[in-house]
Amino acid sequence: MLITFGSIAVFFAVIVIILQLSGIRDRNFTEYAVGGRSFGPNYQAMSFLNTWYPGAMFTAFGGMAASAGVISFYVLSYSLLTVVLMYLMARPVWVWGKAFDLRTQPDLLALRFNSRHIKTIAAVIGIVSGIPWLVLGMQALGTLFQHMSLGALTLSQAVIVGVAVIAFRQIWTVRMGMRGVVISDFAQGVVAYIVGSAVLIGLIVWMIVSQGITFASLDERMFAIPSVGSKEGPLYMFSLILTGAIGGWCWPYIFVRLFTADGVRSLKQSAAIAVPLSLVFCVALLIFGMLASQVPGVSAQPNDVWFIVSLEAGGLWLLGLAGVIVLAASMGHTDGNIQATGAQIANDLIGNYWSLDQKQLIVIAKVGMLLLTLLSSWLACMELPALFQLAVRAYQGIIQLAVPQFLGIFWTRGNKYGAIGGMVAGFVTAVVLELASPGYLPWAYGLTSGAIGLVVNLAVYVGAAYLVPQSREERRRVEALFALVEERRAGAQSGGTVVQPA
Amino acid sequence: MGGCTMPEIRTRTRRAQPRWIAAWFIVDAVVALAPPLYWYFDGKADPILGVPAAVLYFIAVSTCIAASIVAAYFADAQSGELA
Repeated sequence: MLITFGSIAVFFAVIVIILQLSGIRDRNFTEYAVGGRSFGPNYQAMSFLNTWYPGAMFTAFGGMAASAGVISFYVLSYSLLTVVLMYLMARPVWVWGKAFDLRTQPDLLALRFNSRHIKTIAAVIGIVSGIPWLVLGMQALGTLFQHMSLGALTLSQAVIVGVAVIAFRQIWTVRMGMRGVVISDFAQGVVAYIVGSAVLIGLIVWMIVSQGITFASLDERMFAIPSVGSKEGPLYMFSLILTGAIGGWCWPYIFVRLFTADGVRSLKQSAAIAVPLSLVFCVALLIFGMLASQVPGVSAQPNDVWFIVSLEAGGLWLLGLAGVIVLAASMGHTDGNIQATGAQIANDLIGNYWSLDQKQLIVIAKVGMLLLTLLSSWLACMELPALFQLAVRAYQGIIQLAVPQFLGIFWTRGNKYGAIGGMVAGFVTAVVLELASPGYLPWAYGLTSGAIGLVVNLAVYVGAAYLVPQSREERRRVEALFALVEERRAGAQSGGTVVQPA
Repeated sequence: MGGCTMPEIRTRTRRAQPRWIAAWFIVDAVVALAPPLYWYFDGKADPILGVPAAVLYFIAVSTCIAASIVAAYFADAQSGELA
């Protein structure tokens, strides 16, 4: 235990030292919420990866690859497709963010649709949907610490230890805001996805060379993809990848990454840096999981595959490193979630109805983050058997933000009535269908409730765009927003003067 | 808010953006999402280049997506789009 817990302690101390040495002082709320829009491509890439891939990748998706096989690769497809979306919307989102000092996703929706209430609705959907994932992330640390204790701790004791560690870590998230999150994401990301990929590749080689495990050893069912005649339905995989790709940018803690960059170039370069890393990491993880299904003990506990194989292959030192890697990934996701939620509480809920100065916004964000940490820590220590289902259902709901978000960015038509009505209709449709048929809809050939909700949402948005025409003034305002993006692009291409917003 | 009209600005921008980037992004979406493609690879364990066909399908799709983003970045950087 000294080796495993010692490794965790050393890593934790290194992250804290990095944060302490960075000497962050937030001068205003934009500094606190989006790090003053000051980060270059390397920080952006690692920050995206560290928020996108939580520690549960090693347990939940590693376990899925070990138990269900190639179907788990859907996470790879949607994780890369979502970066294409990031690439496409990088310019308009960043330009509007910089020009109008936007700090959150609801800020952007409020600007585009000229509505204060859409800000509140989007913030509430984002915050409520994110809490189950925050709690799940904390509980997942229980598995980590149980393995680090070599079975000396029971799962409930290990959950308490995990929650205490991650809650303690939030001291620095609360104090340092987004700048602290991004700086620590860089160090954590290097450990989780670069060192993690190297360990995964090493373990794959160990299984092939030392254990004689190859793809040929695997059962045929490991290569099944839900198709025509399958239990899930022929469109199940399509639905998983589509909702995963467009849903990624609906999470407030992912979306805010678009505001932390120091320019469009950094955002696009960060995409080019992140995708090869993401590809190598995810392919290695999923192949590792599939092959590891043949390692004794894994089939009985597939979600523990990462720890079981690490201990088997490299003993306590490798188990300790495996724990550090999962903790690094978990910290990035949890910090990002808590920081973004705190900023939303101050900016989109309280600050939407009361006039607050910069200092008050920062104080409210810090208090919000503290309360959220305490609430999620308390929930994580409770037995909540339906939590995972709730989290999955939350995903079907939050992707309803996608229609006003993406159409709002790329289409000048569309108004607040369609945006709000579509989101609400899509959300209600998704919830009703999910309650009636959890997971997937057999009558819809395997589409998920969120996908059907998106169709309803889209119909309402487009219908309202044509049936409720924008006023002349509103049309001019929206066209001016789009013109600003094009002018900045034209200015960049010609190297000319950039026109400032009115 | 500016001296150019929307159509003028859009025309200038369109000329500067390589169309093949948009085409490649569309191909990404098609190969990742088109159901007939993944239906075809359902249960296919025969090795291609030493990797089962079903696994290779996902790796090939992902490599295509990753390559498109890297290529788009270099094309944009070269065209001055990111200046």
